[in-house]
This record gives sequence, structure tokens and C-alpha cells, in this order.
Amino acid sequence: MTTNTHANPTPGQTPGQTPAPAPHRPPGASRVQQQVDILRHELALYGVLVRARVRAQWQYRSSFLIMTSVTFIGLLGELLALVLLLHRFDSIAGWTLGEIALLYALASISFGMAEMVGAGFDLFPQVIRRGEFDQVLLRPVSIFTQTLASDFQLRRLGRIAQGCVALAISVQAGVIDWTLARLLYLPLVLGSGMLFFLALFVCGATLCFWTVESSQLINVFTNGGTELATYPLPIYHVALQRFFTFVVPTAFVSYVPALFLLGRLDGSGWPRWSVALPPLSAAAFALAAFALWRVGVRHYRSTGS
Amino acid sequence: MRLYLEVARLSFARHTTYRAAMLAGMAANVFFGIVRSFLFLAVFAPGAVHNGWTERDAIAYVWIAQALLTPVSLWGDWDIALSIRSGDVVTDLSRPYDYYLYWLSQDSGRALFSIFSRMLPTLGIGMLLFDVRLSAAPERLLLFAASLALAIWVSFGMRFLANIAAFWLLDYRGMGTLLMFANNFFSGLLVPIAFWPDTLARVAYLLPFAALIQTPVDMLLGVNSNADLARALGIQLLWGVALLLAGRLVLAAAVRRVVVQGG
Repeated sequence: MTTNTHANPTPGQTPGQTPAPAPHRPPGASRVQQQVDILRHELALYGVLVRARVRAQWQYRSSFLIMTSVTFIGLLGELLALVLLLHRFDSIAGWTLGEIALLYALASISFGMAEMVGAGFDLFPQVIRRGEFDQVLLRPVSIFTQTLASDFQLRRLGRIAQGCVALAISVQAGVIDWTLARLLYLPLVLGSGMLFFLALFVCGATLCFWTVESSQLINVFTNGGTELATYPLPIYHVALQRFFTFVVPTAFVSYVPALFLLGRLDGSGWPRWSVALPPLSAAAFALAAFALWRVGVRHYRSTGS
Repeated sequence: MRLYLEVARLSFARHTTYRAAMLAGMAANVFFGIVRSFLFLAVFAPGAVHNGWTERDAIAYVWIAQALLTPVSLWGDWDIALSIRSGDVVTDLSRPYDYYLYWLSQDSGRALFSIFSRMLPTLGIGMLLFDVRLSAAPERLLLFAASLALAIWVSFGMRFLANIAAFWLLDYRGMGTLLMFANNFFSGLLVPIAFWPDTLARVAYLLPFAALIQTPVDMLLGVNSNADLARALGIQLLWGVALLLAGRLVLAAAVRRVVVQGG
């Protein structure tokens, strides 16, 4: 470790260091091009910040390994509970263990990925309460990127691993008739689910600009939402079904994707084209959340001291 | 004795200030109650009885269990572990009170407040939304009150042990997460123990975790005989005493380890 920044006067050349500042284009360059440049710049910054976090966490290897395995083992209890429930009752509204395990896997893996990437938004009440948000505002990096990168947690791999066990149970049960379309569809809906949960975290953080105390309200939709997404949608009251389809689109995290993956779409009352809805609804929801976040940031007034 | 009553009273008063947080927390309890009620409505065939439980029993179980979460602090709290990590524990230990009783009084004040602010409202909402009916016999209500007090005591015993493990472990979170998951599963919160396979259920009823949720709920359902309920209360009491002794012993060992940095 003899080469350091002093020996390397041009920042932005070596990986792991500050990327080059956003290039200033001549005024003639299109607005779209500018936006793309900014986005690319922010992504590079995000990468640098996350890499630093991972390196820091890797210094406490035993702590990381213990926390990850404890979470993994503990969450297996949730899966075991599903197994016990279906051992006693055979099926939930006609869905067997393998099929319920698929719902659970979709919800759990999406949630786990969102939690690993975006826990910074989940911890946002602390940032506001301690007045640390003022520091964030002063730095020459987008507020969104800073918050997103502020709590990248490797140990959240525990939940993702447990979700994969649920997926394995489902695959083992042979309930999915694999085709190329389904194989490609799976990562797509996991990605959309992750985006959806990230947007929920952003909504929860946005709430903090008005009230820090009731920020836990978002748990209804994050933790409560994963619970809701574990069981087939038709078991709920119609009002709940509509709410979690049209207002907060949790139905598209697990239920609608599972209908397609299990070949249950025909006869479910959902039209064929609803397979396209998971990514579309997640994107729309994320855009709305981002817009709300911008309003919140503008609304923020420091308490000062 | 007056000192500890005062500590409990102040702890009660302190918790009354977090009203918005209380409402937000209750919203989550109620939401889980709704989701899980629909789950049991879906799995019970009309008129089906499982191990003596009807659909109504399962739904009553869901709501009583959600109502109990905060009084028995199922997911733990880490005030003691944090004070050990920060070193504040030294001040607490040198104060002229019994350290164990001090924290027990703190927790009693907290639990008493959450009975009024979280447990009763959650139950009330469940009764309104899903027509939850409780066994009306007055002696069952008395049994429930006794069982609830014991549940809080057992829960404190387990949390105290998990917290003071911080004297030995640098990172208390591993212990905390483990306790949280064990509580979730073995208390019968996720699936009532009555629905487990027989052998597993018999073992689970003997563990301290069942004393947190399953045992108090059983007192309010009309499923078990009085003799069974008395036996369950006995198990709760035994765990309460055993955990009290264990907490005291481990605390004594821990205090011998404490080294105060001068300065």
C-alpha cells in the first residue's frame, strides 16, 4: 500500500477513487445528454461509496459472518412456520406449499435486495433527528445518492439467502413448468419488486421531513406488505385487494408474477397482458416516490442550534 | 420498595410521551392482525375443527397475540446492553439500589403502560373488525391477568440475560437477533403451537417461549380445560423463577468482570 493519492495526481483514473466530476458540455448539447451524464456520474459515485462501506464492513469479518448466519437461520423459522401451517391445512385457498413458497420467495428476495441497497432510507429518521441531514445538504453530491449509499449492509445477504431457500423449495416441488420466458421473467420481477420496496423506503424517509415520530408507519407497507404478499391475493377483502393493486402495488411483487410462473393466469381473472405490469407499476411507483422525496427535501427546515 | 414503585411510575410516565410512535406501532399490529385473520379464514374449511380449535378460536388467537406483542416486548429492547457498551452501567451499578430490581421496575412501568395504550386498543379493533369473541367466564379473565403478569416477568428474565451477555460479547446484536427469531417462532406467534405436529408441540409447550404468547392466549380461548391451564401457569411460574435465579447468577459473575477505567 505505498501508492496513494499523492503519487497519483489525476483523480478519476484509478478505480476506487473519486470519479471525474460531471463533464460540462457546451450549451449546445441536448438536455437528455446532460441528464444521462449526471446519472452516470451519480452511479459512479454510488459505486465508490458502497465499495468503501463494503471494505469497512469486511474489516469486522466475524461480526459480519455471525450476523448474516444468525439472520439466515432465524428467518428459516419463518419458512418452517409456512411448512407447519401447510402440513396442518394442506393448502391456502388452493395453493400448495410449493406455490406458497414461490410467493414467499418473490417477496423475500425482493425485500432483501431492497433492504441491502436502500436501508439508508430506512434509517433516515435518525439522520433527521440527529441533525446530520444538514451535513448531507452541504456536500456537493446529490442528496439522494448520499442517502442511498449511507447504509449499504452486506449482512442483509442473510434474508436473500433465505429467500433463495424458499425458491429452492418451490422448484423442488416441481410447481413451475420452466420455459425460456419464465426463466427470463423471474429476474425481471425480482428486480421490479426490489425497485418497489426501495420506493417504499423512500416514501417512509420522505415522511420524516414532516414528522419523525410516526415514521414507523411505513412498516405497515414494508414488513406488513411482505407478509401480505406471502399469501394469494384473493384471500383478502376486496377493498384490500384493490388498495394493494392500484394505490400501493404490492400485488405485483409476488401474486401476479406467480400467476404467470405457475401457469395460473388463465382463469384467475387477470388478463394476459398483466404480465407486463410488475415492472411498469414498480417504475411508476418509484417515479412518484422520487417526486415526493424532492418535495420533502425542499420542505426541509433545519432546527438549528 | 417505594423506590422501585417510583421507578416504575416514572417509566410509565416517560412512555406516555411517545404518542405518535405508539399509534404508528399499533397500525402495524392491526395490519398484521388483518392479514393473518384473512389467512385463517382461508385455511379453515366451513365447520372444520383442528385440535379443538375452530375458525373463531384461530382469529381470536391472531388478535390476542398481536395485542400481546408490546406488553411482552417480543422483539426485545437493548437499553441495558447499550449502557454496558457505553460504560454507563458503572454508574448504575454503583447507585444505592438493586440493579436487577431497578430494571425490573423500569420494565414493569413500560409493560403496564403498553397494556393500556397498545394491548386493549388492538384487541378492541380486532373485536370490531373480525367479531373476535373471548371466553366470558370471569375466572378465565383472572387466569389471563395472572398469565399476562407471568409472561411479562418471563420475558424480562430472558431479555435481561440476553442484554447482560454484552458484558462478554462486544456485539450484542447477534444475541438480540437470535432471541427475536426464537421468540417469533417458539412463542407460537407465526403458527399457534396447537397446530404443530404433536411431538413438536409437546416440547414447545415446555419451553419459556410458549409462556410469552401461547399460554396467555390459551387462557382466553375456550379450548383447554382448567386443569391444563393451571399446568401451563405452573410452567410459566417455574420459568419465571428459574430465569430470575439465572439472571442474578450471571449478573454476579458479570459484575466481577467489570473493570472501571479511571480518569
